[in-house]
Amino acid sequence: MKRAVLAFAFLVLACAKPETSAPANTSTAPAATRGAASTSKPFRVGLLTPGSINDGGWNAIAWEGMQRIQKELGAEISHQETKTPAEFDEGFRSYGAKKFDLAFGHGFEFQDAAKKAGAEYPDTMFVTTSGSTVARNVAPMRFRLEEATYLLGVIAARESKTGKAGLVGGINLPSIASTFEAFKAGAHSVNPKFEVKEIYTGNFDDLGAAKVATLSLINAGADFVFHQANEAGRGVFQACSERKIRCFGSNKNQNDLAPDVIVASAVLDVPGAFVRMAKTVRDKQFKPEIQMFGMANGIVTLEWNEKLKGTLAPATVAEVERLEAQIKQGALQVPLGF
Amino acid sequence: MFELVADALPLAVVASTPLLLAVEGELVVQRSGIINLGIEGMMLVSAMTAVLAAQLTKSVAIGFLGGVGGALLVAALFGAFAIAMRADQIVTGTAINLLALGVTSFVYQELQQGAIFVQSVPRMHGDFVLPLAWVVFPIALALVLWNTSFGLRLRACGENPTAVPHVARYRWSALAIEAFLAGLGGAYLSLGLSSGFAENMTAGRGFIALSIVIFGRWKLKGALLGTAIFGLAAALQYALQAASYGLPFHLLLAIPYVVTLLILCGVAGRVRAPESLGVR
Repeated sequence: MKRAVLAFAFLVLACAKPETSAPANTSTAPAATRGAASTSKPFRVGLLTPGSINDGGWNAIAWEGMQRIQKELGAEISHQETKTPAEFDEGFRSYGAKKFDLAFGHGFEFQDAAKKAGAEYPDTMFVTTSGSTVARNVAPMRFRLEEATYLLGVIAARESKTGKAGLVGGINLPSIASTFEAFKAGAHSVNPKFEVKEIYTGNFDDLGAAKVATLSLINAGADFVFHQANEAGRGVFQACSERKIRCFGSNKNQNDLAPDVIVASAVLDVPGAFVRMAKTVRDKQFKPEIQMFGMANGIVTLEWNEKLKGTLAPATVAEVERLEAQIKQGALQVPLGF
Repeated sequence: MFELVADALPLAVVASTPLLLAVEGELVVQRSGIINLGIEGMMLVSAMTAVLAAQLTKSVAIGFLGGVGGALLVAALFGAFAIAMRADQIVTGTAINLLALGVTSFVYQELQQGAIFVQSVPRMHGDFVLPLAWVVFPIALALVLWNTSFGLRLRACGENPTAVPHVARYRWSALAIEAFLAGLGGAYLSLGLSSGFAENMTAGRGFIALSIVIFGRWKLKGALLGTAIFGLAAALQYALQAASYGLPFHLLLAIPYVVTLLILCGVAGRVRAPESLGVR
């Protein structure tokens, strides 16, 4: 709906702005000359997105990954915006027919198309961001932000004076609920009686609602707040700043948005994961299995706000760093909600 | 339970202030015989222009002026079609909403690289909007609408426009009053209630305002009551979610709408819309 609205508005604007930032179907770069796998044929990577890569969010982050693949691996990159399952099929087939090495489908919804195209074009690797469909040359990427949110739960439970923390979510999506469950698991590993209360506001746009929700949690006694409300998260930070309640950032390093109250951020580096994936394919290391991206390969990180790190008990910081090392080694398995 | 209400009440008053301003504006304009569905877009645009003005001048007061200015621009566009060209009001309002969402999202994304939307906005010192919205404006509007000849003629435009000379003049005035109020509401949303702009941040407040005007029977008392109930129910449902009684949050999110509907339906009195509301 929103995209349709945007498209309409662009029409109304009478195409005042030519498509400068949207890439031509195939942008080329000098072929890589380094790397063991480099041959005379350039390494080629395609991307299908369900929406505009100028959306400043989900699709923009994929395009950022592609640009890094171009820069860091010297690959030829291509992008197509695809809206319908028929277009997903067509998009993947076009990459298969042109013998691309790797084609990304940016979302859960590309799984069926990847499977079909994978059977038709065995020389191209088809990777979807999220999902579970695996075949010989088809695999999904899965991001384990939970590993970082687990640690945030540990921090909250160790540092809270009220014994309560609050969570603010936009919409109850599986990926969001899962990070909340990990937060709770982390908190309960410290203190099984620690209370974690959660509020969903029903959208990701309404900063005011997120602020009111946060204030309600603070009224209910929470002295740590974590959010998964995307844009509306700024309302969470505002409420926390006003009440001097500590909180955490999510997905990006948000520490600078409210440096007086944000203790740490759980950060997910999607572009980095795209580059890793492309490297794996280029080096012929691709394995048909769910591709996990977490703390072990540096895609998920816990970013401290150095300004507030010193205000925490040294034992808390030491414990979190110890757990972080355990997660990286695989000694500590953080529960995944889905 | 009492504690929950006591905690939620101050939150409710602050959080529903933008809504109340929108309700008051829409009431005036509907009394003059115009349905302005575009009020959602009007608020959204003013939320953005308020942030732009406040960031460029580092002044909250100018930010609010910028918000009102943005709303006036949208009102001028709406009026040009709905009043001057006598276009269909529903269609015009819908188009304005789509345009406002598209334009504000476009500007927001284009300016993402700059500092305007990233830096925190100047903070309000003292909340001057709250008493205006809840006390001063309702009294002033009641006096103007029901105790002046201007108000009488404005309302007559909504009942029987053929009886009033210069209908367009009164409708333009009503629209200007609405733009002022909705602009203030939009600015309060982005400068007072939250700090900064986000795409589609009005999140349906304009549409809720429309329905509160209708369920409040086009009366200021109904408008105030409806907004207060909605605001309190909205703040309470967050408190209930936070209290985690194990109720599904989808149900709790629906509470404000259901409660407002039930109470305003039960308020005695026949529903009578202005006779010529929405008539071209």
